[in-house]
Amino acid sequence: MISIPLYTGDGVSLSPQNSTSRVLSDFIRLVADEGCAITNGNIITEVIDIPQDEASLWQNCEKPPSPPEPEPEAEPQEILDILLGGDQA
Amino acid sequence: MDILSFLMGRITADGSGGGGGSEPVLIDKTISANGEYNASDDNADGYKKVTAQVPNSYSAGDEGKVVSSGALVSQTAHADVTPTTSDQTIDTTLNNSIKVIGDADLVAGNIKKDVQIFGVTGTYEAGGGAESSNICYANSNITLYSEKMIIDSSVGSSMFKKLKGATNLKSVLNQRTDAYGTTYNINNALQNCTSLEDVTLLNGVDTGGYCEDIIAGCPNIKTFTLGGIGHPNTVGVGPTSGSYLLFRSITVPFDIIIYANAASLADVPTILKTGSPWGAVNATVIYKSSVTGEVLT
Repeated sequence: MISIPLYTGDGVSLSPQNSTSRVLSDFIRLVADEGCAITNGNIITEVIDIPQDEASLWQNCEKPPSPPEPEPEAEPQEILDILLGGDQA
Repeated sequence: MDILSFLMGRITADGSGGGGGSEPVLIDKTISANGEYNASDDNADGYKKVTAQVPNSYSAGDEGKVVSSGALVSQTAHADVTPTTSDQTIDTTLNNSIKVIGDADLVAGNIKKDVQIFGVTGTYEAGGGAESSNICYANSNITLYSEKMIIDSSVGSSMFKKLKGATNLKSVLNQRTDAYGTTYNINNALQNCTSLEDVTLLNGVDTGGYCEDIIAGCPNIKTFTLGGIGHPNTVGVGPTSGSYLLFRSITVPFDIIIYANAASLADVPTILKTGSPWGAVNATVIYKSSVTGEVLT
């Protein structure tokens, strides 16, 4: 897990890119190691922007498996159109 | 009377000469094709060889006369006549006229831009202009060649499923803001749109609705905008945990723009910050006021 400083100002809220018009923000970006994930016990992710003072809450963990592709669902509007035979939008 | 002459037929009974056995006087004559000639005017009895000269020029007043074909051609030739939108009548010296048919469609707007036809330089551009020429409004299965996709029909989110691999696509706008405009069920939907630069979802995304890894393989992505002025995000930006990450697999730097009903970064609802940057390792996150459009810092 690596920690990247984030900058703010000059048209951005949080950016890993610095510039002369930006200042260091109160947030950092934690990035999991290749093939791994990070977690705070609630969230499992590969990258996260957090306040600097929450960095100690995060730890490395195993990367979860990719989810299966869900069955496609028709939009409620599409179902309505089929039932009524026309564009109801 | 000389008896000998009479007997030889050289003198007629009335004493005049000729006739009887005298040779006619024949001469060679060169004439103009359009003249009348009497041999007696040349003190001859006739013409043995006549050479007719045909004029090689033609002038006004020569109507009906014989002239060479070269004279006719030279008289019928005119300066170049350029067709226009109306008929043009050209008088000739042959006492008739030539009409050059005009065409009312010979105008700049009907000719492709920068192409010149009969002196008219075209201004027509396909599609009628930059804004409309490459926009595709779709409400069904399509093969996408356009650069910009605007979605505001009842097809809604499912149209995104049609866009995967659309290599000409540069921008996507889902501008539906009714209850069915929230974008969901778009796993991988815009993957490999290699020209894609901008995505705007005015009604945001449905965080519980399979919005994962949406722009993998889009190396030219520049901005991904959720919401807009008058359209604040309220339900979150996308899945925040597990493998359901909106921008998983995209590593190029780009801007994630999120409109929030807030006056400063500190006031942005936590639900809109949780999970940032939603898998986009090198992205810049920009929160903007949904009231003023100002960047929140």
